[in-house]
Amino acid sequence: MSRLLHGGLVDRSRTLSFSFDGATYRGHPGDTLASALLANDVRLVGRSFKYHRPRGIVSAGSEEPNALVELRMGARREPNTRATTVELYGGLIAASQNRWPSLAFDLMSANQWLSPFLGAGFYYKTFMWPSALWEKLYEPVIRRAAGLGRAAGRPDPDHYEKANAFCDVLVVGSGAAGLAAALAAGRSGARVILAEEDFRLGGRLLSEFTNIGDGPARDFAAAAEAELAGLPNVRIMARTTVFGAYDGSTYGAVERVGDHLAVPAPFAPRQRLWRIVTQRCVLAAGAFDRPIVFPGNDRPGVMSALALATYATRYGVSAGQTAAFFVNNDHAFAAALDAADAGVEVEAIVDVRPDPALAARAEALGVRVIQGEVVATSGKRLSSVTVRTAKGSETFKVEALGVSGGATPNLNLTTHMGGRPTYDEALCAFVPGALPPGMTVAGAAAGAFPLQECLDTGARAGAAAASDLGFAVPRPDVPRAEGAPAGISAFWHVEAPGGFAFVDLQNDVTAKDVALAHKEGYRAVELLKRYTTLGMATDQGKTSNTAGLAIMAHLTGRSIAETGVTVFRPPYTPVAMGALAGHHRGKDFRPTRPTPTHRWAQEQGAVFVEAGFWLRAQYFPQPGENDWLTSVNREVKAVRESVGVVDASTFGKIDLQGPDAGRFLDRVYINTFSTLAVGKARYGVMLREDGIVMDDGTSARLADDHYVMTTTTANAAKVYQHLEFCLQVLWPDLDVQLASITEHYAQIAVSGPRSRDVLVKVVDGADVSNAALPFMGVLETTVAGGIPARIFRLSFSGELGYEIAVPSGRGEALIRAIMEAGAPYGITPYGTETLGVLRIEKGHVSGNELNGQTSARDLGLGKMASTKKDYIGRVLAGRPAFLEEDRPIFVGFRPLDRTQRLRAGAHFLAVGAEPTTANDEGYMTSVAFSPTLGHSIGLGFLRNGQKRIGETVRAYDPVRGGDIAVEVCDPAFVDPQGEKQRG
Amino acid sequence: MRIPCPYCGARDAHEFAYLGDATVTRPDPAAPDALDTFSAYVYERANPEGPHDEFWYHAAGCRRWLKVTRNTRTHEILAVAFARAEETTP
Amino acid sequence: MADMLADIAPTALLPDGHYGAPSEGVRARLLPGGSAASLVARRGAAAALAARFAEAGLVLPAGPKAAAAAGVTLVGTGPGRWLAFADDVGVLPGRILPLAQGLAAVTDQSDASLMFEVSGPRVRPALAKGVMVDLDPSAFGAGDAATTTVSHVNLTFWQVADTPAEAPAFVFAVPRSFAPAFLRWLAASAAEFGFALSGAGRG
Repeated sequence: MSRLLHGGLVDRSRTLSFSFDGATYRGHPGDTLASALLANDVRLVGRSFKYHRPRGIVSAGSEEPNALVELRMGARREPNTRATTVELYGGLIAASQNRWPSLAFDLMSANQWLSPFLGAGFYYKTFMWPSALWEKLYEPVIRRAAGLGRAAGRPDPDHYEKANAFCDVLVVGSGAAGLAAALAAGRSGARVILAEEDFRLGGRLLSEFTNIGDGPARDFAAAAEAELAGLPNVRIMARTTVFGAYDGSTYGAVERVGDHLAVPAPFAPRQRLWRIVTQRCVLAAGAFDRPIVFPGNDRPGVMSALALATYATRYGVSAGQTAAFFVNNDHAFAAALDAADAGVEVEAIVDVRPDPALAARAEALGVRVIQGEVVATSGKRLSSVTVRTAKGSETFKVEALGVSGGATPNLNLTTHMGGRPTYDEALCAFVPGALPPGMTVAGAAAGAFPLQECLDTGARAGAAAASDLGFAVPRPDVPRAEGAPAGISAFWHVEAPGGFAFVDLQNDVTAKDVALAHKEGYRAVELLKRYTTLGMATDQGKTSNTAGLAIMAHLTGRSIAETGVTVFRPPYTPVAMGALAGHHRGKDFRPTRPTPTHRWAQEQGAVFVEAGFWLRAQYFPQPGENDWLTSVNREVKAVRESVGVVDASTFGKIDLQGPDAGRFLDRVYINTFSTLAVGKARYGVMLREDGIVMDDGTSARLADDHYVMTTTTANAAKVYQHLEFCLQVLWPDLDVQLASITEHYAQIAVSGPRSRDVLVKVVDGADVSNAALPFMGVLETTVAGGIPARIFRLSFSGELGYEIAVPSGRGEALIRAIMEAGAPYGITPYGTETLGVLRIEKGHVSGNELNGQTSARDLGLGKMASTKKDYIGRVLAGRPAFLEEDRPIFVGFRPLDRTQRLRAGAHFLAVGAEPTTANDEGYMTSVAFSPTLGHSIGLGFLRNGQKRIGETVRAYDPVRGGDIAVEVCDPAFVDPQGEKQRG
Repeated sequence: MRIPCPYCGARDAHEFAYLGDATVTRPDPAAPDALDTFSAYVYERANPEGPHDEFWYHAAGCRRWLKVTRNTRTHEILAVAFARAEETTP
Repeated sequence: MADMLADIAPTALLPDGHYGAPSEGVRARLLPGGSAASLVARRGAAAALAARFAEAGLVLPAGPKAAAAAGVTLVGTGPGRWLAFADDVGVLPGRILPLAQGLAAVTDQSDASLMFEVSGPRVRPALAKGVMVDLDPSAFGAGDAATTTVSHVNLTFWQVADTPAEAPAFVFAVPRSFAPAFLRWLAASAAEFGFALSGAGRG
């Protein structure tokens, strides 16, 4: 056991049992999986991405590049989880990943001997040729060899949700700067959200043995948290990672509500995705301890100096029986002394600098200070390090090595809106450049590393944010922190012969790879990143980027500032897809809109189909009907021979009122509506301004200043929006008022030669004779015992037909009344399939034809267009290309061999023509088997089609192997004179 | 992105539908060169960098068409007004 | 948790009952059907319309607010646009229609929406899971209304006029065909606080 005898913020009175790779271990509440593994002497936790080298824990936070594990089992298995951020719980099960057959013995580690071939650009160079091998050989092999963990491959049993929060000041991070900022803003009364990704507030204050005011830093953190928790205007969100900065001062965050439990609490989500809208943001996200690149720097046991100290001070764990440090800065030097204070056996501190400021304190503690560089390590787990000094080299035994090349401000969020960090030579670090609007940066994230500066800049930022917003900010009460030296000497890379010197541990990018990229000309930072993969994958180079850039700068002879830096995109850390989906999965993937008659249709055994959000009856199979076509043929026949009923409520319905309503419709439809008589309806076509048909439908006039319009189901919202545009932007002088009434009305269509017989029985005595309610007539009356109704005598099927609109809550009552009234005629419910067959038989255009490419003339509707007025789309519908004789025009098709089946999507070719694009004469848009005619029929667009009625062309469909001779015909296959609907 | 709707208050951009350039005006359809002017009106668009007047429709809110001045570089919203001038008061 | 709704068809309202945790953090009640209408002022007539309503003792709010008087709740949904709700089905045709005569288009919307009153000690955190409007008492109080989108459902809601900040009740006017989806979202969002649904019968 490597648990120190005392100390740390773990609850030693309680023990939690967990397993890793099948072995059982014990930890304490307050541990992370990483600290618990280290406490149990588990140092080897994974294999590296490319070379499968053994790897250990490197950090103590979300920047971890190495210690990625599979967490949990079965459907809850989650790959690529950072052991350093997983809060330990009893029964936790984790497994190492990217190893085969076992972690200790990984066959793929042979890859490292192939490293001369696997260097930067390996994939680009190797897998270019022959391309035939890509899918068969390279990809499967690479997929097995490389990559990270395995997805669960089963539906996630947990639930996720999204939530919205609003505040005045969002503080990201709860270290010294974040706490000071939250206190300053919170005390003013501003609404503050303090987000902390850790499960405990305090940041580095939890890891450092220093004093604030009269007491230990961690007591300050606890007191600050207690005060904040008592302020009603402050919301503390622990276990919450702010992962993205977006436009409008909006931030994305993920709250791990149940990740610290084996199974989320009943009815609680596992994770919650927050959209936080704030006025100001104080980024106090701290800094990362970055590595120094030297040969053998990836050996398990080599880790961040600050992490090594954190494991000792916060978790009471020594990462090895003996430890050494390799640093270039005072902060890490102090951390080494903290580790020694906590009980770690520190053999030596190797510092590249002469006479480090804290040398005397080290010697007082009995810790050797060596001026030099670590040039080699050995052991599968670290067993010794070799140090090069002015006097020569020295090797000594040690189990852990804490390395620090300095602090890299965690400025990730500052770059999400395009800000570029700038290099600060004195700090040896990139610091935030241009910031997202409303953001300020405080503490180490801003390069203000000393503790006092963290407190000061945090308090100032919090106070300024609140006072900007008009809050009265009390005089800031910033406590005094113990002083500490903050010296650093730029040092990135130990040039020494020997093994791999890794820059990016997650992507196995070495100093040699950077040199190779340089040699091959990939010197710009963006090219370096993509050529070597430096800074990619789950950690996005949080710790590795700066050293990589520094090495490139050295190679090119430019400064680091001149070399520049890549920027970050959201998310800061990986976000589960489940969290992004939230409630919207399975049945709730999107809203389901039932029609007013849905329950009735279910009783009738309907099969349903999605139409946008709507769920509509597709067809109504009867006992003994084994395929949809049999049902549809029966339904079509019933409508043609007797009577059928269909729910047409999904059509868009718009109420138009006002003295200018008629003039307005004249301007949006190609035909005229101002002359329509009250009590009559008319079919209308509306264009887009570019001359293409937007939508069609009927509009009826209920009064001089009152019309009601129907739109297609799909375009309901689009047409409403278009009409409002016309009224509000194009013709603000028109006095017209719109209201959507789609939801208020159920609309039931009764069609077929016996439909009037049914209607007579449904209306409450109104005269619906042909004289009283002629074709295209409209009647306002009551039906089925007092239900207010509008009856429109319309026909989509070509048969005598009526559409009856009633308040949607009465739609079900109406259809039941219609079914009862129609029983003597064998009234037949039908769905969207039959609706489609009926309209194809009748040659009516629908969505397939109104496809965003066709003009009214193309659709054979050109003669509807009025020449006496202007309307939307008129001018451009008249452009020469739209009037060309050779343009594909809407016609019908039937197979010469009537037994053959037509296919929509087939293209038309002249008989004997080569199937080339140049010979393409148009395409088939809609097909159906016509039970009325007993064969397949089709609608489509054929060059100069209307003049070619009677010709034979080929319907060519190479995808499905079709090449069928078809006869061009009038699109109206049934009742071309329209006598039935007028009868 | 958030758009401060003059009626509803600041709302997330996904409540709005975008149309585009609000500096163009529907030409006179009776003019002899209408085909040319309509072609330009429908198809020709500048792609300015910086402040740009655009039409946005508050589809999920008040259903008003808005004229929004947006900085195309930063997405900063500089001004918002109802497209129909008379609607300056609710 | 997703299991709670897995066996309930998305095409009907959730049935009355208790969902989620045993507590009653959130309550929703489907209000009995009354009548509703949209009012859209004729061009330039909004002020005259408001004045005529004021004479009749009714308030047409100037902005996204809900005002209740004389058995009618009038909710601002846009410039010159309101929704009117009344429990008594005679009120709108009998009172509002004549008042609006010549100054506004009145359209019957009685069946367009289902009305849910949502309340309870945890109502705000539950609603925050879909409502993208700030519901903090400092930003949204009694009588405030919003037309917005909640979990893909476009709707209008308001905080009932006489409900205090510490125990608010909200009324959601939900388009009828979207009401099942709305309730599923609400039940899922309120489940961790305990959710009691009434008024929807057997769904």
